[in-house]
Amino acid sequence: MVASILKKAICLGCLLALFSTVSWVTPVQAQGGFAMSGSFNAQKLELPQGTSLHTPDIYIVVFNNASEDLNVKITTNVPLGVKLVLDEYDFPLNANSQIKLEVGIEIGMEAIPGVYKIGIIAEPYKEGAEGIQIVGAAGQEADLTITGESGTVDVTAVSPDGVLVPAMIVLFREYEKNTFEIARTETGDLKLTVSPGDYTARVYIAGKELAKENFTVAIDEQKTLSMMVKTVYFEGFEIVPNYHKDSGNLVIVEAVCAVNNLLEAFSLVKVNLLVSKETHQDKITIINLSRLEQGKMELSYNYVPGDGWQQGLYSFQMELEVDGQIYTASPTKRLNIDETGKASSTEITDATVSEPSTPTSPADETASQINWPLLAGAVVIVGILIAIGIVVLARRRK
Amino acid sequence: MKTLKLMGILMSLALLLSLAPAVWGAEDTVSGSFTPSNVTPTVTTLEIYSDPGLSSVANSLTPQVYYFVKVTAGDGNTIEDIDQIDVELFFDSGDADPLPPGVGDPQTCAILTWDKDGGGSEWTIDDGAGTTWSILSANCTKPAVMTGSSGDWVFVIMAGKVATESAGADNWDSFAEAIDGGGSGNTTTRDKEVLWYGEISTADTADFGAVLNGSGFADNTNEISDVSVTYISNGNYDQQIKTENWTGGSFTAIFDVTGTCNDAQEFSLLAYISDTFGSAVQVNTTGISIDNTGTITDETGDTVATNSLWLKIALTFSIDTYNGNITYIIADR
Repeated sequence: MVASILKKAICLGCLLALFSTVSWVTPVQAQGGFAMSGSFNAQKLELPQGTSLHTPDIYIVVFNNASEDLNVKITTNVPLGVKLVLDEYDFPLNANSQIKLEVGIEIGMEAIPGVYKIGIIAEPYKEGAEGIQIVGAAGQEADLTITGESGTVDVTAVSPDGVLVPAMIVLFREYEKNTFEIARTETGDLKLTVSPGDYTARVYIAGKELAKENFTVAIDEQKTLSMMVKTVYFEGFEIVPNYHKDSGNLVIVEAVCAVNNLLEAFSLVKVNLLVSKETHQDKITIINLSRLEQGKMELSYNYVPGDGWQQGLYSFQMELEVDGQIYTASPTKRLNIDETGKASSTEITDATVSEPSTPTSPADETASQINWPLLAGAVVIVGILIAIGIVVLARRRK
Repeated sequence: MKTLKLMGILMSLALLLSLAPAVWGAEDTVSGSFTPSNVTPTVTTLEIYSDPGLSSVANSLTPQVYYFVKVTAGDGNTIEDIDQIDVELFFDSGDADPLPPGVGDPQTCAILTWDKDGGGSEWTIDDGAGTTWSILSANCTKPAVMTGSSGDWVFVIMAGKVATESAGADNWDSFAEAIDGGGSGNTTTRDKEVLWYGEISTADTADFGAVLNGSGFADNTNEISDVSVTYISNGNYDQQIKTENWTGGSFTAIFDVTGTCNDAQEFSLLAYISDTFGSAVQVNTTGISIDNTGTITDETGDTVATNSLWLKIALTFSIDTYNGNITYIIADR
């Protein structure tokens, strides 16, 4: 067997030696770790003729994970009238580095409606390389549907009083249970020609989603959407029961939270603590500001009901008033007092676990001191009043 | 009688005032020695951002690119009370919103941890050991002031090369838990995407040697059968190949996608993943599939060491040394 192969090889070598006319010198370079990722291949684009799409959410990332610097050539595969627009098509890429390239799509009026695959290939090459190189490249393909019909969308972000808010609006196309970003703006006003279909608009400020709306655009429809956003919210609202050190009875409840103002300052702001039990409600203004600036403000308030703690369920909530109108409110927290007058459990409406009913962590223990000045003052006043009474009685007897 | 009335009023007033501390307690002046309960922490926000300014929410993650995972945690006893924050990024294969797995795996789960007492290991990642998931500890941040009721922890992380692709399926979830001495609170943010990642490397040399004019496209003729290519991917992938014209010192080799090579200076290629000539496909200039069955790999990748090429050249072909590329492509599918 081995002899047979050897014989064939020798024969082939002799033939090549006799008849070869072309020398195919191929000092193939080893290539390693060339890669591509990004969102381009995840797209199912549906665009009308004569439109374009440029969004940071459609991109590729090209990686040179090898130890050598190289150059990269980008090629695209598109149908007539379609252009994939990248910032660069031919560029150097250092060893162990990466580059992110946004991909725009332009659909000319000459493009023919239909369903297409469009592709991008990133291919490494080296200047001055000799011979036939075997190289590794990476590519992605996306689905594109070109339509002949369209509608328009005009989405604005507004404050509760109707003023335009410079928020980020991101428009998504809903397609077969998938969602694809097709446009975004940071001005708070997004206008776009789109293909008929289902869409979702989301509004963000400082990275926090403040509004979301789903809608449908019909053929030739001019869809106008005004999305209200509240730029102040409560963060980390908590109630902390404080217990008498000796008796274990509930003494006060500390309500803590942060007010986070993401954008502009507000005038005439109040933060109220609402405490309700059955039909009774306490409304305590814990801070009254002529101006609430942008940023985060920590608040804390120690609450004791006027009639002492009673058996039943107490609900706590913070609300924020702007110029006399309720602007936003915190989640509601609940505290249950049992028949012995002790807080046996704390029920919270959001995703946290319930509280232990008694102090559990000596490390957290921060015993407060008796308010001696106030107590002394009360005793003195009572003493004076009793003294006055005795004096008056004595005078009457005389 | 008048005196009695006056006494009555005075005593009532005295009694009322004696109760003052309790009533005024609602105004933050409670008497007595008391202890706050150890309130368990909460997690109110868990979000992933693509920018360090935390302004752009990332609905999809590109493997091997840094992202910023923000956890807003609160504690009624101040956030100084929080001992540890854990974040799990995990693949929800059935889109069934499961609990986090709690075990690191390069394809399905990474566990990020902030440990208050961790010292040099304050920020860590557990991804199943020795993988391409990464945490950039130096850029991770915790609240500058720990005396507030809430604060932000930011983990700077990179998903691994084989973190399972879920493009179009939004099947990655994240779970954050804040832990103190008395318990924990958590939240879950679901339905992020991990985008397709494909990496290719060749570590091979190949040489057609001397080729006869007018020869090719027969088994064992102008054939190379040991081109080694390694593919790493977090999802389904296609192995493709393409080439184009080759440039010589004096002449150009013109690639003929039809494979006939009737005209002078034309050449063509067939290719396959093994040396089975009967399965070879005609190479083109945009990328033709030679195997479209690739699936998620491990971090070392799948190596195909038997890639084969068959060269054909026209009868009239000038002697020269030609330079050009034969390009293997990893493409999503």
